[in-house]
Amino acid sequence: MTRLDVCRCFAAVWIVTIGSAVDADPPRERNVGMTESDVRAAVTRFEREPTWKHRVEALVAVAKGSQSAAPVLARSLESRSEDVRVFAAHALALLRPGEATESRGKVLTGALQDPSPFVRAYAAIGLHGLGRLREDGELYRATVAKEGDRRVRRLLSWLLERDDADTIAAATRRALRDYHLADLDTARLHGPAPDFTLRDAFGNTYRLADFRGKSSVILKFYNEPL
Amino acid sequence: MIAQLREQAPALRKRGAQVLIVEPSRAYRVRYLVKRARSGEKHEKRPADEFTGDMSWLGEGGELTWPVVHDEAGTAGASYGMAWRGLLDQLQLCNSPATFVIDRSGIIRFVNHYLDVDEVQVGELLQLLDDLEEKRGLIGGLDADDELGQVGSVVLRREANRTTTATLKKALRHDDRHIRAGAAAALYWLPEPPDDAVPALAKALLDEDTRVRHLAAEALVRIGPASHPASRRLLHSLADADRRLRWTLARPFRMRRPRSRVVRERVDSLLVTEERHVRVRAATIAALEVIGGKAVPPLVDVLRDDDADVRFNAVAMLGRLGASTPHSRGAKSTLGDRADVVTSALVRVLLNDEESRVREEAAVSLNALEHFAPAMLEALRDPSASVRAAVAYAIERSPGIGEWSTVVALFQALSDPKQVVRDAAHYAINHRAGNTIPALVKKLAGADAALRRRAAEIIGTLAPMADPVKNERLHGWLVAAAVPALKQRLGDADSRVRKAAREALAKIPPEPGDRVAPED
Repeated sequence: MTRLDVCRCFAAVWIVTIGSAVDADPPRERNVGMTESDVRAAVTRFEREPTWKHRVEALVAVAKGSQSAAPVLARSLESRSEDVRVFAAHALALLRPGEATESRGKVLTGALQDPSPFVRAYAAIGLHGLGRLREDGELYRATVAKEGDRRVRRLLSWLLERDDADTIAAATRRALRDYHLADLDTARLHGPAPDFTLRDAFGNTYRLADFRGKSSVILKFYNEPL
Repeated sequence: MIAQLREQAPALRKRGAQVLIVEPSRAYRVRYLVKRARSGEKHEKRPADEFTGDMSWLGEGGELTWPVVHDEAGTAGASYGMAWRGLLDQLQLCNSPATFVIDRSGIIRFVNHYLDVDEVQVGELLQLLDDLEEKRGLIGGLDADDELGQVGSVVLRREANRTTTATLKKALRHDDRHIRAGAAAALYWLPEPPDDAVPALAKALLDEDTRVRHLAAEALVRIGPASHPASRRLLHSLADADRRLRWTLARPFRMRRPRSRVVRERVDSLLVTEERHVRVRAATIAALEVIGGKAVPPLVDVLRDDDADVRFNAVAMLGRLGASTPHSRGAKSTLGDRADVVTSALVRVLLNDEESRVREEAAVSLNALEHFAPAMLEALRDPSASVRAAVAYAIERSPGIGEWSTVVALFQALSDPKQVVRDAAHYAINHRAGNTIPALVKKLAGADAALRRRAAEIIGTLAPMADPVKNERLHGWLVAAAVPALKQRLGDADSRVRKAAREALAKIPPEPGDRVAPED
């Protein structure tokens, strides 16, 4: 196993959707109906009440109206609430490349100094998505050396080795953009199972509705270290 | 669980079940594991290699038995009520993981949110799948009866209405046991819980046919709190000889998000014990949880039942209903304004039940309730040491711990012939020193010289136990509250009080920093 492989192994614990890295975004992403005020409202809702549902709603809003989200999120990064800052860094990392690149790079670089390791981790991914880690490799290598959290250090090291900027966030962004918020938390015992379409590590697609009438399904949400 | 799903794959496939494992965006890792397994690397978990992980996902040839799909944005999880799964593993957790069983019609028939110990086992899932198919068959079989029309097909198509429910209620009294079973299954299967079928289903709990009883119980449990009028009969049916029925009644427990890990662990272990009464009790706890506080009146009634198992179950359940959990502490318990009724009932059992295990369970339940009744102190003289110890622990949790009479009773229990009781009393006094010592200090300042002397003597007896390291809490309270009060009593008008105070002060260990350093 090469050093790069080892780095990949460790870092993959935290990385979102590397498996679908080959599935690049569609050539032209468009905003799909979320205005700046919509995004601001969703983010504000989460800031007031940082529940998981509000977080999903806000992320969907950001994914659907990403251009207008950057200034709102930059302000949220200054919040005193760690939840809000983590969300803001995460959402900034999800924005499309080419959107508010300069300002985003600036705030995410600043977020690398945040006391929360989660914020720093998302900031690192966001910077990777912007291609900044590759451009300013030396600067960020120095950041790695200073990073106090082992996990974030490994993540940064691994990101510095990769040259596929933005592929990490692409599938997440797409899934959020296509998500119908009406489906949020709708699974009920003795009620219809909400449909979804997900892919495995090899690109095979599974749609829950395809099993209807054919077989029962045991759906296991797994959440433990492999 | 993942290994079980792999091992039981043939059995699952035989039942036409598809497993989908949803991973929070770790697909790359899955791909890596598969690649490594295929290359023949050993399936060993190496220390410090966080990526090695559990290779039980994979077959001998590195094949994945079931698809592992990645939910990169957490959107599928969001639909299923799973909180956002964050980027940093284990750090931005979300809800506990879960297993859902979706039947062939696309309806969710089972949900198991679990933490560490309450994860549903594959054997139970296989049983559940069999049960679902059996129900489907029974419901379909209703169409064979001319009088019932096509009620079975209507139910399976989820097109039922009030007429359907009325037909099914009537069918519960049919001469043919298959029809009765089909009707009970259909009442379980309906899209909306048929609340108005509760009386009919309650009667069906007494059916001569085990399967009908079993299906009726399942339908009642599905109806949930609205089935409380049937709770008394349901309670008795939990002593049913049929193991499957008891397990069925235990199932809802797995479908609820458990409130207390301790309770879940306990119930989980009890459900598999060989002792019948304990197993029944666990099933009681599990099943009646869906009925909630409305189960109190029938439970209180059966505290006078001739069957000790039933009394035992009822006592345990009353404690369970009133228990404060880490999540509910500070909030109203399920019992609400019935808490006093339950406390009185449990104290009656504690003092009067002929079986010591029932009395002990009453003490355990009082412990869970965190209520106090002065009569509990009488039980510190129970013939059974287990009961006496359980009472001491119950008193420790109760607000009565700060009463003078309680402190005296616990102090006497420190001289109990049984170690288990002495330990419990010691624990109560030490752990609740913030209540017990102030109660003594208050008496030290009282008008009654005999009580002042008694309080000083008790403090003097407790003092040697107050090791500043091992019993830091007791020691701290003695130093902070008892020492100043005892010093005041050195000038007491009563010479016996002065003597008791002086002796007590001499026995209180100094703080570590006050000790004289040994000479070289």
